[in-house]
Amino acid sequence: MVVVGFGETPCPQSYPSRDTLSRLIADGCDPRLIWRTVIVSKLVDDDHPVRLQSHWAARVRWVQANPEPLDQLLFERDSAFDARGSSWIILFDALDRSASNWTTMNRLIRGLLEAALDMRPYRRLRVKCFLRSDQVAEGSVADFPDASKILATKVDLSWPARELYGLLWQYLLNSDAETLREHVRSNLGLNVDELRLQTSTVWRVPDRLNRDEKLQRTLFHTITGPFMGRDRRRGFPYTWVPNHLADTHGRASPRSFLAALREAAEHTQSHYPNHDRPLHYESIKCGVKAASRIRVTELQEDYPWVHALMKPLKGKVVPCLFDEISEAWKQDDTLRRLEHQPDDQEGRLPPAHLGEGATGIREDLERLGIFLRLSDGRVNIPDVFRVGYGLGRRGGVKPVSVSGGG
Amino acid sequence: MDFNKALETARQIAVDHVGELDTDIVLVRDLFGRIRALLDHLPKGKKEKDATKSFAKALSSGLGNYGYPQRDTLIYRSNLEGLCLPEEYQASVLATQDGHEIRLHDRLLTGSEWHAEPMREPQRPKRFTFFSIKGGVGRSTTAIILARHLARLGKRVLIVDLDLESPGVGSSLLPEEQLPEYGVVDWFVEDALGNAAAIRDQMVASSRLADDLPGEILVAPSYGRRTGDYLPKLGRCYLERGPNGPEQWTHRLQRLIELHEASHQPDIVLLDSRTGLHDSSAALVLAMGAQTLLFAVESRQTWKVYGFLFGHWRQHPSVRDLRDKLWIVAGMVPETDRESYLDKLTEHSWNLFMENLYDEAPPDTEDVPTEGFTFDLKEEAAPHTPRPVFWHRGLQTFDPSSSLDVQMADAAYGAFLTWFDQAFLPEDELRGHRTIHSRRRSEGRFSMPCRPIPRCTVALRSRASPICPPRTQRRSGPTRCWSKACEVRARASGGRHCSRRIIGS
Repeated sequence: MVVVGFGETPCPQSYPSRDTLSRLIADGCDPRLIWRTVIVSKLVDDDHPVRLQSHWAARVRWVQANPEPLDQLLFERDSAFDARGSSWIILFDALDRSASNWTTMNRLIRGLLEAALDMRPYRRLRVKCFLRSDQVAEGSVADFPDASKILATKVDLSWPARELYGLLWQYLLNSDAETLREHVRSNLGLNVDELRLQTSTVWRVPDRLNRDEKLQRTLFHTITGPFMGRDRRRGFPYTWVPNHLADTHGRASPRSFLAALREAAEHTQSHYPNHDRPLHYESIKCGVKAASRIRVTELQEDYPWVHALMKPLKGKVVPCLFDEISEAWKQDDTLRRLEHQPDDQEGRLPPAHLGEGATGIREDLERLGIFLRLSDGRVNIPDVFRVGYGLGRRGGVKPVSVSGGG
Repeated sequence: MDFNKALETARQIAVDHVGELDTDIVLVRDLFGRIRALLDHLPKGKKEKDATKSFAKALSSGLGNYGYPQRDTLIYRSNLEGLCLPEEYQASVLATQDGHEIRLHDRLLTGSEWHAEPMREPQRPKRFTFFSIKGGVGRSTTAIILARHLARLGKRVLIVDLDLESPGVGSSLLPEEQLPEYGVVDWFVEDALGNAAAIRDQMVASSRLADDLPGEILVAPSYGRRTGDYLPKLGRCYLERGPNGPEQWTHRLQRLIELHEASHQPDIVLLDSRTGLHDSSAALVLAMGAQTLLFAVESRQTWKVYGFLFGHWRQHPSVRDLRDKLWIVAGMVPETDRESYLDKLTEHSWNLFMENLYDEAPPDTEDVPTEGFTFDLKEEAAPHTPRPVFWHRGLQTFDPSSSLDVQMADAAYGAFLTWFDQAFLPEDELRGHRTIHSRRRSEGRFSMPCRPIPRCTVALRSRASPICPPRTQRRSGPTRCWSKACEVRARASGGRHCSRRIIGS
């Protein structure tokens, strides 16, 4: 059984909203108790005293005042699920919307982790929290006893290239056309299993296509051809695509990956209609370029302030000294405007180190994978963001203009 | 006035005068850094004469110690007899003014090689140059390991030792008694006298390192058994003089390599270059049309010296033809902290290429063609991305004439060799090799050693291979000729091993 303990859509009966949370904390509620109340209220029946309270402050008070009956209740529920051989999972997602400043946010995350730790002894009651890396990176959220126990259960939700390709096969094998399924069966000799659901059929990606990178490479190169140019010296599509979509931590987002390939397919159809493969290498380059705009938008959704910081850098050339960047921010008055931004309507967080000025912001951008600090101290920005935000790259040779020879 | 300032001054003077002169100007900088100008033809008519005179005066007086006396300041193409001047395009363009170009031709010692024109034609066979700023970075050993790897794939590899000041590859691959009669130094000396034909077939021997492999490793060492006193010959190697008079060293080397290629028909040629900034290595890097592996270790010296070299190439008019033939190889990557070591090296290497040879990527990327030769820090296929050769204790005492520890070679060279195969060997060749494996397995002959079937490429060649050492060697040395060609042929005919007399050439 899966229930939601916090999420993007408002649901005042299920969990407190951002404003309620901020009120509760201002009134001195322990964040750990707030989340424990949320968890408990999901486990009890409709006529339980916790549920009967009219508002969240009262529910938290009840939970605080009645520890023993709750211990008993949790124990009973756990045993009941155990007897049935099933589990109960509560999800906490979209926590970046639970507070609009970092002090409150850190207290809430810390409380949530404590509440999750409290639930650890139960075998069948599970707490699952989706957190952004900047939400757990702070020392202030993990400074309670045994915090390491809960952090040790952390799973990094990154997308290694292998899994991006797994996702691609998932889509392609489930397309209407039989072509790829047939190819995988007859040319690669793998079974493509059919899963019949009530209304639809799902084709399952053969396990080897998800794990075996050599095989993935072979199959992808069947679609693209072997090289990213006329010859091998420009690299190989299988590695080229994820590499060119990656941030400084080597992470590429699945959305931009799929978008790049979709764009490449359309581009090939319109520009190279007679090409013997579905994806032409020039089209892949165009697709990746388009996807870098998507990545920028994605980033904008999660971190609205990134745009404000990157806009003044348009037209700059990297790698460059950090002074050049902080000067651009100064000229633009970027930092001061971020500080004075009214508690923004969507309630998004400002950069975590805004208080430390330009160097603090630099750290935030480095953590996000947008800035890379070179060993000589200069700043580099990987292609996926450099192109998306309109920056150039240094070079010793002026590029050949369209009219010039060379 | 100093060396650098002189050129700037000369350039400015040329810019000021080029309009009146109404002709292209080539500034010629000599060994000492003194500059004069080369014009196409002697002045005709008063107006031209006046213009030339005033130009000569300005140049001569403006340059001080870095100038020539006024009467020697100008030279004319029509007056140059026997003096070998570079082609137009070999000089770098300093300025364009009033529709005319002002170019610089640097005459370093033997030095025009650093300016030599990269070969544009695709080469058959493929040539690879191994270059390093300093010794002891595993350059020669890598060449040997690569040669063995290629022989395993059935390739016929010729490896030429051009590290004449510190020969190594030859003696590593050929024990004393297997050396050919003559070496590279002998050829340069004899060739200058028009006598090269006498030794041309006696400079290459086959290495036993490939004895159990389908391919073959041919070695052209820098010296042979009959070279005798090495130093006097070495001193005469860099003469810019061929059998028919003045000839750039580059051209001479080119002829030597072509000669070997024609007579031995290798699939791949590995040229082991001399260390550091020397004209002979410049020729190898630029003029041989070779893919060049630039060995680097993470040190200030490495990047400083490569900086000089790349800065020079940056001015080169053919920079676009040479830059995509350069590849950084990280030599002796230490056992510990490999990742951070390589990260650092990658950064320095990136800087080197970016500041000198890569295209600038302007900010308004929408209009830029995607084909720009520009790479981000971490790009697999970029020239600057180091291909690592890992330090390995066993390789410190590596003796190629003894058997090779395959596991050790794999640990140290696996990544490098994989890259090499992917980058330079056509996929079908590799696949061809692998299919032999799989076919054998599928036929169920598991008892067969799982190695590709030797291809008797040599025996199938119609022309006689001149790699057998001549009779004299057989008389004086051990009676066996190690040439694989002979072996194959002999096996085929059921005869004795070496039978050069019968085959002839």
